[in-house]
Amino acid sequence: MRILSPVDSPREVDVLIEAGADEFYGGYLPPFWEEKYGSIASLNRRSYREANVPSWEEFDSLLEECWKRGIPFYLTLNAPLLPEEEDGEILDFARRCVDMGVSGFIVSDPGLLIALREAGVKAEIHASTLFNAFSSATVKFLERFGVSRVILPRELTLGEIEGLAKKSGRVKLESIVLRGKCPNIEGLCGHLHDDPNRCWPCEMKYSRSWEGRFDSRLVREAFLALSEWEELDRYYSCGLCAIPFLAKAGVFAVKIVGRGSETEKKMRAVRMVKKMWELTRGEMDRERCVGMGRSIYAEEFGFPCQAKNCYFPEFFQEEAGE
Amino acid sequence: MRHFFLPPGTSSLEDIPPSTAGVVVGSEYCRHLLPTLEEMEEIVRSLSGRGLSLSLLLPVLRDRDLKEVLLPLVKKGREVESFRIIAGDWGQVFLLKGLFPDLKVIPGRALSGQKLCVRVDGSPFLREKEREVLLNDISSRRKFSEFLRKEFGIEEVFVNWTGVPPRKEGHLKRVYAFPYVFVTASDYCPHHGNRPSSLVHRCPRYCRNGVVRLDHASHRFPLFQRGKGKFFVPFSGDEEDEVSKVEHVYFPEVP
Repeated sequence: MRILSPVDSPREVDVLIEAGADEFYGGYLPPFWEEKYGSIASLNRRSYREANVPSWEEFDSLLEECWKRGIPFYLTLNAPLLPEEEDGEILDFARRCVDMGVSGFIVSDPGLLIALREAGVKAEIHASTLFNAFSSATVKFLERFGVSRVILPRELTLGEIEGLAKKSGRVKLESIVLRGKCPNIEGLCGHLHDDPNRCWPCEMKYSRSWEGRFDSRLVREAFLALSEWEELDRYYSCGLCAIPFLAKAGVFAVKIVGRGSETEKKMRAVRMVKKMWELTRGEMDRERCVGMGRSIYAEEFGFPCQAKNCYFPEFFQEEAGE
Repeated sequence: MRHFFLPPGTSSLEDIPPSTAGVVVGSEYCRHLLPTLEEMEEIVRSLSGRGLSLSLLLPVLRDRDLKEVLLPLVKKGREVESFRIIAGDWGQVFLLKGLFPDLKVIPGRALSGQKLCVRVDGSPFLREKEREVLLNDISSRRKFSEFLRKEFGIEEVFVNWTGVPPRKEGHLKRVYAFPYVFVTASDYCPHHGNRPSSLVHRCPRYCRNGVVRLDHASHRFPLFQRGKGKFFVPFSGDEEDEVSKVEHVYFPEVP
């Protein structure tokens, strides 16, 4: 199973490989897009500059570093819907990227899937989480467009992923295991990440009121549940305990979220995943794996993990005997 | 042409205005709000001899739900002469058109590609060109429209109402949702302590009791959260006349 890490600079390549990364993904916003549209309705769903390689020269250098070390780099072209009139420019850009060493593209727009296939761009195509591949029928649908890998939504249980893996045929599956848990299903979300201070609408503190039939218990509980998301720090989201089981199910790669974050944070995340993978390879005892995952988490972050940060909360439920 | 949304748990057609072309049942954000088979039977019975169409609105569905929930509902719904599915994910389109080639399927708002945050209108950080990109919908993708038409016989898509941009040659026809714009949905229901859907096996549909209104100083409009879904209304209400000229689903309350 591969460990897929975010990378934003050529300077990060060596340290992330050393930490355990097997593959990289990242973004670069070409000037034609930035001049015309800016960075909020981004070509790659990151509205802040740190999440993109800052210049063409650095991007070239990043790809060269990856190439020298035999590590694939996947470029995010994952805006939900691109203006059709830009297809020509985007395809030219994609071809140049492939010539420079990009191994594949992460795509969300079905129109771009077709355009890439028709243009004969020789690269892997990965379907982003925005395709909401909650079912094997969606994986089959994506396979028709030549998609070689599907990035699964964050909300699937381990059992559901195991079921999908059995039916996914030639399509490889990728599962998110660290950082970036979101209150909303990414593929359904229209929230705009436009604030330069990086306070997104899904984590703002809202003034809440109830409209409808009043039931004090119901309202209190709903307000409390909603307030939990305002306090959640996505940096601490984790699915480490599931790693050995994902590998056994046949998941091809585990992904770490965090484009645009500090190098140290990326390194720590890759190290955690690598450590879990090495210590539990072949281990199938649920209790031992969960124990190991929790111990790595507590060691790195200095406090125990919690159900609200967990990508696989069924582990907590099982423990509670529910 | 107006289709009227019947809230979950309702089968009475008494409140439907006389000019209505059809009714819409189901949910775009929660499988627990889909009609039960018994409710679907009651709805199908109520529609008998009324000349109204029936649309089943779907959320994203997992494998288990496709088999256990969706297929029985579709089989029952097909007893109504003009029955259609408003799909919540591409897998449903693929599966249902494979099983029932004659079934009318419309890609739903979750597949529209529109990115309609409550901040789209009024964000000081957004350029006009960017706003256009966010309001754009899947019908603008000509080749994908051709693919849907050729492979699945799809002619229409369901989108949020954002005004009425002209339809271009070769593009799919739009069916609009009015007045509530779909903003986002979670897998974690606030009425179940943020438990994920997979761990909630039965639901008493607490969310039908009301909605949480969410206000923020930086937003021009409030968000309304019903269960796992968030919506807003970006209009003053004067747009009713314009909407009446196009085919649309009318949501009389937050869906």
